[in-house]
Amino acid sequence: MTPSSDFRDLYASDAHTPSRAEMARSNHFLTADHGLLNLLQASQLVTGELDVDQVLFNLAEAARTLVDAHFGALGVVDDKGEMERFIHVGMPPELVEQMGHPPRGLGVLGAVLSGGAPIRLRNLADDPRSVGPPLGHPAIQAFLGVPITIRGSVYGALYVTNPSKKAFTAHDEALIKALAATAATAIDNARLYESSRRSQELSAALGDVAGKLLNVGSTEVFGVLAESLVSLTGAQLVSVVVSEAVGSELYVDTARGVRAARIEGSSVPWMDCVLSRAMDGEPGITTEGGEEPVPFADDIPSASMVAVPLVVDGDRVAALCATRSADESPFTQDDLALLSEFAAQAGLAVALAWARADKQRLEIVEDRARIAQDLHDHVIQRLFGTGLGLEALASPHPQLTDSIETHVTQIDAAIADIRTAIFTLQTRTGAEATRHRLLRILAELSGTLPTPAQVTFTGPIDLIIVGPLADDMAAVLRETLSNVVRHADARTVEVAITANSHTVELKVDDDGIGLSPDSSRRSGIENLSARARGHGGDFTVSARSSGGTRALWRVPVDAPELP
Amino acid sequence: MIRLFLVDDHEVVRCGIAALIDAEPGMEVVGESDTVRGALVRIAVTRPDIVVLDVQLPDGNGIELCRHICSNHPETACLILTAYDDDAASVAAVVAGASGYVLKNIRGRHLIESILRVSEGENLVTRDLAHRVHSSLSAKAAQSQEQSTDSAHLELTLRETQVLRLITEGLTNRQIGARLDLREKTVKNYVSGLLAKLGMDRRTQVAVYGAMMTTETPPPSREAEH
Repeated sequence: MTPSSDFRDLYASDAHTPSRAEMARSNHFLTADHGLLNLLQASQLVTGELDVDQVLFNLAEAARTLVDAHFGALGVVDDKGEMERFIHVGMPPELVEQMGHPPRGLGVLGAVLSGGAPIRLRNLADDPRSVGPPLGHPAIQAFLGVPITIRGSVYGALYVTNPSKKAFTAHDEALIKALAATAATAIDNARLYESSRRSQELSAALGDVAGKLLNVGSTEVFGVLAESLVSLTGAQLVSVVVSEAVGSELYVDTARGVRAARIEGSSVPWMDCVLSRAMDGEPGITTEGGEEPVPFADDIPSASMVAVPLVVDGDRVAALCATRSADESPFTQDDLALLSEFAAQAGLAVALAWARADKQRLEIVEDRARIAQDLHDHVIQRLFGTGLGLEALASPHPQLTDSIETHVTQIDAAIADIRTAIFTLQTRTGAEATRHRLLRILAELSGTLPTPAQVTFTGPIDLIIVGPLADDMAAVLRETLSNVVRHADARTVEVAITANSHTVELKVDDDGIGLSPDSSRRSGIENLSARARGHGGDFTVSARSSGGTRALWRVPVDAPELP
Repeated sequence: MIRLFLVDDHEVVRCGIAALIDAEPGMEVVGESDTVRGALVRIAVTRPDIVVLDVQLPDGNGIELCRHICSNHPETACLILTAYDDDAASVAAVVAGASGYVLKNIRGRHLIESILRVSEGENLVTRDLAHRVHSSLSAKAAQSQEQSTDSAHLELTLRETQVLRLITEGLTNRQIGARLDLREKTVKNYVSGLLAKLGMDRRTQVAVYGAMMTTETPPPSREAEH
């Protein structure tokens, strides 16, 4: 049941038959009422929706039906008063497509916006402000445009047009004005809703990030940020970009989303674009159809991009960058604001996470130092004292000498191992000591051996093996060990490095299949010999009596130039 | 008879060495101490030929103890006995002005042989080794200076550089004082300052040498992780 039928019932229930004049009056009333009714329905439709896009579309459609127009449209302007969006209704989609770029807001369309008042025309073309319809637009004559004003500033305008000269009435204008007023409220509400929803999502995302950052290693921090941003910004790709300095190459530290695997680890030259400006401290957004280069355009063509600096502890450490592909709606100022807010808060969370990681690292260093000290202060001393005591037993009990010697040898080997362990446990800074360098090579290469290589150091290694000799020693150890790993099929490998004031020696013993006439190994041997000759020494490879091979690299040491 | 004095805070170590030396003809242990303080007093009384000492002691630095003995009892030689590796031991021996070092290894009669050689007046710390130690320490100090942003406390003053050079030439505090026209007490202060700057007086550090080679610095910079 509609109100209009109620009215008819009302009249019908009246006992007298209405006069013609009365009929005419009531017809007019009914028509007017019909308009009001439509307006009410339109308002309901518009205010009942909280999604801005849907609100705008509903509005345009409501305007068209309200005044029974052929075409309807809604234009939205940005902060600078330029047409940001233009929604057509009543127009076949292929025509809209054909017209391409939305109108720029010139001519009469613009006059509605700039004048802030409705414009109603019988024939659009007759108006001196008219610049004519866009290319491909069907011919139009009757025109009505009403601005939408929110909190005192022009947000956009509702337009209705007809191809015929059937002009819009003052009544139509009043209806559209009323709709525009409702529209303003509806759009404002939808925007407020949108912004509160965004800040809710933002705080949820930041809470999530802060929680995750407390649980991951410091190297995964950027990954956490990027993952969170993919869902927060609705981007196809989020990248965290770093650079050594303003103006130097941009390096994609972390990427998440479409083609992330391709983009992560790649470099982008420093060029004038949103990314570089963000690295330089200025948040930015790509302009649609702009001339500027868009990074990653090869992977995500004609994309829209926002980028903001990430500041941690006062240092600009990276740029956060979100990319949307061309078939998504481009980023807006709201997205940029969202990303900036995220970056500001995330910077604090990252600072906390890094401080925490630093503290943990420091604790590990201290812990290792403590273990090393315990080994030195207690374990070695006791082994040494016990060994001496054992040795002292040998003279009163000569029959035990051999057996005691065996035990003492074992204890000495244990002491040597512990000494190496202590050395490894120490945190090193600055230039690497030769001993550390050699230990690192051993650890790296003995991973593929059945048991880790045994190593002993004798003499002041770090004091004697320095400079080019240290480089050669490292290269020789690497080459010899990798030879053993590749060719010897050895179960155990023993490395002995000795330095005294006359000679430096590297000995690698294995229990493998022995030396084969394999040519590739031969060329390696030649290389090692050349390195030895360079220092006036030699390199020999020989079969061990117990099976396997002994490689011996030995060079004399020059006395340092005394002052 | 070679008269020996032992300084080590581990009783099991002192007992072991004492047993070893007592079994050796022509050597005897005339005293022991587990602290710097005890050693100073007893060495002054017993006047041993050789002091065998560890560089790490509970109440002080064996290096300073050693330098003190060399200055005040020139007739007494010092032999450093340490559980650290050759590099650490070399540096300690050179800086301490000792006649040599012996690692805490059981086999090989190193200790006995070294005692015999030192008792005959031989210095086991060669000029070559002393020079290497000097280069290494100077490079280390220069490097710390370059790396550290607050380098003030690591920078060696001209005096300290001079003192370090004379130390590595094997001079005692008294001799350095005479050479630089300083009182012995002043030289001692320079030496303490040097040891502190090089991180050699820290009980908490893993090793005398380790402390020097591996100064306590903040964890690697963030840039390295990126």
